[in-house]
Amino acid sequence: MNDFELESKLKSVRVPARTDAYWENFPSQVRAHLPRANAGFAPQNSWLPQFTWRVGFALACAIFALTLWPSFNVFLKNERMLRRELAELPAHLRVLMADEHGLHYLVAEQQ
Amino acid sequence: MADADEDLVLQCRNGNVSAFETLVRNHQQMIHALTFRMTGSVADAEDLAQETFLRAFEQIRRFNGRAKFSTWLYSIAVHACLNWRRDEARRFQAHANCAEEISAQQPNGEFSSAENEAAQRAQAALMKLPAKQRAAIVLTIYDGLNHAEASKILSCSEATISWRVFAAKRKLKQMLSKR
Repeated sequence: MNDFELESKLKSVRVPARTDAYWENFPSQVRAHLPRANAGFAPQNSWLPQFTWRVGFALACAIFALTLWPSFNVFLKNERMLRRELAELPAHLRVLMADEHGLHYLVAEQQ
Repeated sequence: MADADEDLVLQCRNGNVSAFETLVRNHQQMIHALTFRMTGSVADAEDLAQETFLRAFEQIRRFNGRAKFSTWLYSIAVHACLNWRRDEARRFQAHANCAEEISAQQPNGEFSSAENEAAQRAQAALMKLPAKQRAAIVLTIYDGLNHAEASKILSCSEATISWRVFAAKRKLKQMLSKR
């Protein structure tokens, strides 16, 4: 059997005919089921949900930044101090240590 | 037609349900034909056609107009059919119903009994194919789509479609050559 013969056989299968009344009623049948689907379909007032999300996101960022800023600031201050100490004691600094009492360093006597 | 569809889609998006009803009217026969060829059952085809239009209504905001509305709708219908599941008993019943429906539709001996029997065998063979291969055959042979168009509808590559069509034809030839 070649492709042409196969296609002829397949195309011999007809889709069952339906009455005109069926075609007439089918769209109304679908429509009757639409209210279930219609729930999420109401034309959207599109700016409000987006605006709410954006404001919420901005607020969350602000709270996060305000919470973290003090500890980040301390870190920056320590880092500045370390750099200053390193600059003043080039090649002498052996150990640097930070604890609850502040910054400690051990300086070598010889280079 | 495409412009008319786009206009109706726009009206639908603005909440005009009557516009959607017109879209259903315009495409109902095409979708019923597809769902029947995919299921082999008139009752299931009707259910799936209805489900297709309901899904289309729910998702109409996602229709971006890049493809024709009919292509988009076709894609929804094919995926609804691919997800369609039935148990073995129901499948057997569907085949029996299908044979009866095909016999019943030949008016006044328009077709000989031999032609009728050949049509029944062809539909039965089609129903024995895996769903994805059947979809490839329905789209390319019955609806005349090329492999690129079918691949878009079935969300796969052209090579996959070519393979499915090839494999399906091979099986169909085997099934329909048997006496």
